[in-house]
Amino acid sequence: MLLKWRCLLVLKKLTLSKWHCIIYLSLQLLLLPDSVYAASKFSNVHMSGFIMQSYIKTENNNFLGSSVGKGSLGYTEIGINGFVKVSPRLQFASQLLSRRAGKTDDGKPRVDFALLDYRLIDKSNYGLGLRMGRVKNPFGFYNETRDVSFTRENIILPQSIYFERTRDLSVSSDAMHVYGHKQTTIGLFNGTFVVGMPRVTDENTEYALLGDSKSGEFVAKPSLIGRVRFESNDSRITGAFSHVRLFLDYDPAESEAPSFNGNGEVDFKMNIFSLKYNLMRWSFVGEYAQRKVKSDGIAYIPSDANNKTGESFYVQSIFRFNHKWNVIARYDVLYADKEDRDGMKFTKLLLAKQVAVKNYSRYAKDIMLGVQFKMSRYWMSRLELHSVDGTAWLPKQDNADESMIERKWKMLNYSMSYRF
Amino acid sequence: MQYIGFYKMHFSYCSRFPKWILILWVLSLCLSVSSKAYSNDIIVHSGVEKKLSRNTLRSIYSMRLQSWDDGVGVTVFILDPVGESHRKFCLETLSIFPYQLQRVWDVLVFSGTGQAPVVVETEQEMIARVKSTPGAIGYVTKMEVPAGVKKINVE
Repeated sequence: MLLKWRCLLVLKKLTLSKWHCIIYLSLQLLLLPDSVYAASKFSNVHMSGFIMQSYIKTENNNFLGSSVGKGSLGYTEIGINGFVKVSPRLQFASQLLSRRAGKTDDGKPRVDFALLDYRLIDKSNYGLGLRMGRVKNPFGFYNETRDVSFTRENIILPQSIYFERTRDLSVSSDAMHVYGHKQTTIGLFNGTFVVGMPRVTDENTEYALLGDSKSGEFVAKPSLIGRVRFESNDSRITGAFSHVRLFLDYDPAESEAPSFNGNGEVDFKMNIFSLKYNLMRWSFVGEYAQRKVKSDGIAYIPSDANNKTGESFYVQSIFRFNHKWNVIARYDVLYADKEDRDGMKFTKLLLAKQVAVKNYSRYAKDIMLGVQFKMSRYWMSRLELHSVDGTAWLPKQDNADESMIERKWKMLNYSMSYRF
Repeated sequence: MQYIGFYKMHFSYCSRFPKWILILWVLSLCLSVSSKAYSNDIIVHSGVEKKLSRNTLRSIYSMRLQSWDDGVGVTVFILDPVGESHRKFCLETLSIFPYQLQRVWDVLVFSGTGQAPVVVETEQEMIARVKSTPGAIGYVTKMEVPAGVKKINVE
């Protein structure tokens, strides 16, 4: 109980929107005295949640808030979820999330996931099931739980693959999942295949694909995601291959219609290869991705940026001193076009059309060092430093004045997280 | 320190070999060796089958297996997830690092695709909860089989 009050007292010092006040009061009523693992007196019903508050200070460019100068407390994640086991084969789960992330997210609560999960086949060596509803998108190692600090290895995930600026589009879909697993003599294989409608209602997708918020809107079309994972029997090696194929239509406003002479379609494709090697104290992780955005008839996407293959990768290592302390190092790289890694070709093409674009907006290289301290099962703090060359994943929403954007910039992040 | 001395001695003889082999060899020294002498006994509710394979145990503790063959739901109990008993159980019986298993549970809970096991504070509470919960499974340090629960043989 004392910890709850301490948490609320710290959070009250922050500038809170009315939505946060409603959520904090609701949490006070709903918080269980036991940990997330303890069964409530209704043993098939579980509730849990998390709160993360981050302080970000950047040199030169803003990230998830007005972080230049004194820094920003504009990055907050609060979630509460419920799980009901209706029967051994049928379960229901839902999570309400509030996320503040500078101008990319205003903290308004939303249903992060709400799904029914039915197990068709449930054997020790193989299984098959269905999930339906708003379900987290399964790609890469970290996408399903990217908003929960306790399931991330550090504060900010590798931005070359897990973009913060298009979070809603990436994180979940209204979809049907078919999932299964098979135990073999060499290890465990599991796969998930998704057909669903991506979430494109926020303006962040417009900023990412069109460079700015526009009068029209994106409309989701049925899209596909698939992932196959392998885990060796000694749990040391984990590998995965993910494929994402999103289809969107752009519905222009009346004022925009004369500029459009095509279908206004976007076809986004991404392949990710993921590999992890785990030891008792060390973990080594790497992911490599290629992306292609192909548009047809959207006036805002210049032809020189259309149908290009972007490339991303990161390598990361973690060393655990014990269950409380660990340190992490990562090198993360993003190229908007793998045939133009320094962005100069793109810059020259647009300059010929009298459009000024900085070449460093087409790549980003990030070196990160971090440390984590788990004070208890419920509390965790992290500190990390990023040194970034390039602005390819910088949110334009937080950097409206493009003349102020610098090529090289640093970021200091500190976060405190609580789970219940 | 003994490992460093061992490496130096062999390095002088093995300098002909590609360095990457030596690096792999040194890294392999860091690998924990699973011991065949388990520190824990697996206990289950009296209604549960007595033989389980290691892969089935991993499936249970990774929360993949939801029900036993007779349709009764599986309820999984653990001791303090950062305690020594749990650590030995993970390494010796499940062949998985404790932090990996913790992450599996966290991903299930925070993606809505499953639930975490139930944490109990003491071995006495573990025995009492397994005894009274149909379909329950847990572990205790090696002891005589308590009344009311079965000890599982791991194949």
